[in-house]
Amino acid sequence: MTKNRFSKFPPYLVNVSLLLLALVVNVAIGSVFIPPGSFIKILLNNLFELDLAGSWPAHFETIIFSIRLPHAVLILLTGAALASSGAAYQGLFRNPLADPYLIGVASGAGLGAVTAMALNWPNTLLGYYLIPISAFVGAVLTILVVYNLAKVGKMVPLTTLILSGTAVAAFTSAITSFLMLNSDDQIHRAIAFLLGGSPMAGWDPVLASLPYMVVGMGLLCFLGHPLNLLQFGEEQAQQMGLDVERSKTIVIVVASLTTAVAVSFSGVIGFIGLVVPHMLRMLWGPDYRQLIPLSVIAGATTLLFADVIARWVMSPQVLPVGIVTALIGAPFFLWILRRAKAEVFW
Amino acid sequence: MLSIQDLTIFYGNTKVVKEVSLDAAPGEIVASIGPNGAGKTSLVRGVSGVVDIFSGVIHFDQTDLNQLSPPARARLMAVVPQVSYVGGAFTVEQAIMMGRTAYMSWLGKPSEEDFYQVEQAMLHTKTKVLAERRIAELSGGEQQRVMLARALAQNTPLLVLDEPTNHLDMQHQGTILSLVKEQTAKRDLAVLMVLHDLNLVSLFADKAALMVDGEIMAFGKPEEVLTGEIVNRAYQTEVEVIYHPKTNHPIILHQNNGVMKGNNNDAQ
Repeated sequence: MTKNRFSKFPPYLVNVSLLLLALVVNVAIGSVFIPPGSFIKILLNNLFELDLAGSWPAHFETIIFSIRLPHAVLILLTGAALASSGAAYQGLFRNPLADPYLIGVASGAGLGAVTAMALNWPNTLLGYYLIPISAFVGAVLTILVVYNLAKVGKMVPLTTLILSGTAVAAFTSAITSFLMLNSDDQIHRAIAFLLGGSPMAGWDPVLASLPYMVVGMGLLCFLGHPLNLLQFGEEQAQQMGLDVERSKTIVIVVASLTTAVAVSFSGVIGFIGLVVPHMLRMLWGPDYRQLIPLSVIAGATTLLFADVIARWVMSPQVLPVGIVTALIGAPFFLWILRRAKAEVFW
Repeated sequence: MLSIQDLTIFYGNTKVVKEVSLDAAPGEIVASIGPNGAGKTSLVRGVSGVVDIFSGVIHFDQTDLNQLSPPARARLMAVVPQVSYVGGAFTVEQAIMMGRTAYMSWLGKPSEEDFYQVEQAMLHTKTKVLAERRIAELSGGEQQRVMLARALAQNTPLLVLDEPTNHLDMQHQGTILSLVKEQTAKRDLAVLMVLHDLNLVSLFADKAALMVDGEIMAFGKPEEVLTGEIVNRAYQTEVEVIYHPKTNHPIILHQNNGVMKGNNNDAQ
């Protein structure tokens, strides 16, 4: 079994505790510091109509409920979605390097968003909501193109899927760059979006993404057993009684839609989908029935902490959180790889 | 009774299995033998449903296996794959439990019956002591016993094995085939097994189906199929067949000139 001192601790307890800590820290940090004690009391008072005593300025409640909390919840959902879909892609491709970028979904969503910005849609009647919708359409179109390119007869071999994903990602990125060069006034926002730094403000994006997130991640949590079987290869999985083609299609569609929603509302954020499931696998083993729900929790935690760094390190200026995840995530991932060479996690 | 009739399989434009017919009764081990590239593995892949068959039918009793969904098929037929290192991070018990997939819901939550069958499979293959170990940590012989346990946990009347002795030393070859023979009798299984070593076929199989170029060249009891004349024609060698002094099993003796002849043919 996994030989690690962390693996002795109950995984759900550890991860939920860390998530709560991350949420409190994320809400506390900002131009105005909100003491965790005050935040917890204010939250409990409002959620359960309690009357916990405490002394805090009146504007704390405004800051928490109209700025900090919706931002934190959107970040939380984004991290959860990216990590859980990353875990699902890794299981499907039996490849520790698989993530939403590998099959082009994230690039497709990015192209959709930048197209909307280049055409100056944000200044039209429907306003900023056209960006997520356009990103969503871009992601779904990319999946369809990649999936059909990869199709050989009735089957979708994973190698051709990854190859066509990479090719389509290169193609969509090229169009994205071209659009950005030709749209000077929107270019700054487009760059910020592609760097993973434009979570939208307020409760509207949270409410708009929540149904997709809940459905997407909920379904991913039910796909653990098919993903476990696929670790033995597609032939063995089928011989053990799994409808392999149907399972693969379900995993691809659900994971891609989950990714698309995350990208739509928060921009292109890398490495969460790669590093988080990998860490969890090292600590608590390869069972996807547990790994996916844990990825939901730990992905949220990780992105909340990354977001704290993004808002704090150059404050009052806010860094795109995608830069933070890449700067910390990439070396971290290399460290994991070097350290893990001798051991088998797959 | 497993009954294969006129089975034909194409890989692309190449006909790799040509109108093959054979059958295996409950309690019977049928070994599929023949030179490399003869279509033995294609045959078992076709029978286990992972490659499309072009024509022909595969029946178990009255059931046409090709009409079945993957779970329904997995309740009739279990497959022991060649030694492979995939899924190596799972524990032995987790892996054997996956053999129960066809009886589980989409969530993969085991029932009492699932635990009982896994327990039985581990006892029958002497893998209980390995239960908590990871597959990647095991030796080749242990891994193959785990794969056999997983197939037995499927609790099917049909068992298919693809070169179960590949990469195993003499002792472990004997162990795995003895276990297969024991369980075949105990569970009244119909077994189809690809084997390379003709002497093992002679010892462990009830019937041998000799394939050459996708066709069945001979099908019958090992002593009927493993004659010097048939083996030399199939493998293009010059072996000598003698008979065990005590058990009268055929024993195939390689000869140096036979091996050389085969190599020369390859070079041309």
